[in-house]
Amino acid sequence: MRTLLAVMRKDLTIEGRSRDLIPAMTLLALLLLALSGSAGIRGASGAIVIWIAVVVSAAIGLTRSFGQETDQEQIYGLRMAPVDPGWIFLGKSAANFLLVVAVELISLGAAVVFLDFPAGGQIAPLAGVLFLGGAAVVSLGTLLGAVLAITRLREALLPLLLLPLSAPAVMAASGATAKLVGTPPEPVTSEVALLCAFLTLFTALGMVLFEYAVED
Amino acid sequence: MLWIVLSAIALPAGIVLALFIAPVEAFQGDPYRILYIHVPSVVAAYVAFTVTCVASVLYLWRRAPQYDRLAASSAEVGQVFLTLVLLTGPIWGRPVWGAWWTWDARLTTALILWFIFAGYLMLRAWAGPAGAAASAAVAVIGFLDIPLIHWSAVLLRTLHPRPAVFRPDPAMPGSMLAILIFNMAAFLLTYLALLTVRVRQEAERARLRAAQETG
Repeated sequence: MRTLLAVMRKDLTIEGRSRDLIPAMTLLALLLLALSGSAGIRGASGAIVIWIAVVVSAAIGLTRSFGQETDQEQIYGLRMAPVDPGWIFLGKSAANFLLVVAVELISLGAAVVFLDFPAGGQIAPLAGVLFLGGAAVVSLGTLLGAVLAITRLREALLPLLLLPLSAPAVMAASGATAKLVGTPPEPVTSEVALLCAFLTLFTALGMVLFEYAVED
Repeated sequence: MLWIVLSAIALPAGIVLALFIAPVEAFQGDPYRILYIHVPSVVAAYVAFTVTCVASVLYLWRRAPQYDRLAASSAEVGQVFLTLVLLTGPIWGRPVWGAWWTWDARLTTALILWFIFAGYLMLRAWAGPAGAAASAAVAVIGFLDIPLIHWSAVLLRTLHPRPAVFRPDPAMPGSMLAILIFNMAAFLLTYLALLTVRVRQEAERARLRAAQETG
């Protein structure tokens, strides 16, 4: 647990000082929402736009998450630390999760403004779906970021792999988001179950594979 | 060599059986005959990706290069069969359903799977031999993703026919079933033939590279 917090604090401190990611991720998300708004998307169908904005900006941010570890081969230092690599993975995931949550909140606000997205009455369940879906995308994205860290052209490969692989999470999350703001709101039990399964599978796989994939 | 000869005989024979011997289907007429290509391709593609996943796990565990070559070759051949599935599906769907494409669970799963393995093959092409561990990890992730993709697509509605063959009482006359099973065997033989050729090529390439490095 101390490892998790230490890695997370390290990543957030780097982001706090460099301010590399948040502006780029937010701008991209805002851009996607503004373009969809100008193309005439309104109301509950904005749910899928929010989630596309989240997953695309996450793909950009997660490339940097391990990019900053490989620029000067810091990743080997991280790997040599006498701690369980699974906790390092969780620490990286936690830091990435906080970045993605920030992008989600800004995207939701922008969707209300640009797309007339009716977030009004359902703030608490909507926040739950945003957190759960964000965590699901981040668990897979952090794993992919780690796996691709040392490969050539990882900036192009990560979106190419994250988008189709996270499709079940994105479909379930946007389905749940749209159902929650519908009139009347519909139950989202099956979507939430899918997101929980996705999150559990890729967090567990990440803790196991992290060690093997970053070995070379 | 054996696989190549066998598949070179079985594949044309299967096509002849499908086009000229199999009876006409009562509701769909002749367009249904594409079933004899479509379903065997699905089976071959999923077998191929299963082999890729197993070989990738073995590679991550043992780090023996032959598992890596097997995983890469099987994924390539699997992608060819999956492409065939995605091409024959719409040709069949248009006359029977009246639409080239529909967002049904099985179609969505197959399409997303195609994108995943397209990304996998890009990773292979771009990362080269250094990307073996990364490719193996992505193959495992992609394979485990399949049930989740299917689950998420089931949340939408389903138009695709329920499985008619893989169940205790196949809903198909014996003459059709026999030809379909013959074609499945022919396609699996073709898969094995292509796989053997690709694995051998990759092994040769690795030997050549090693020879160049030692000078």
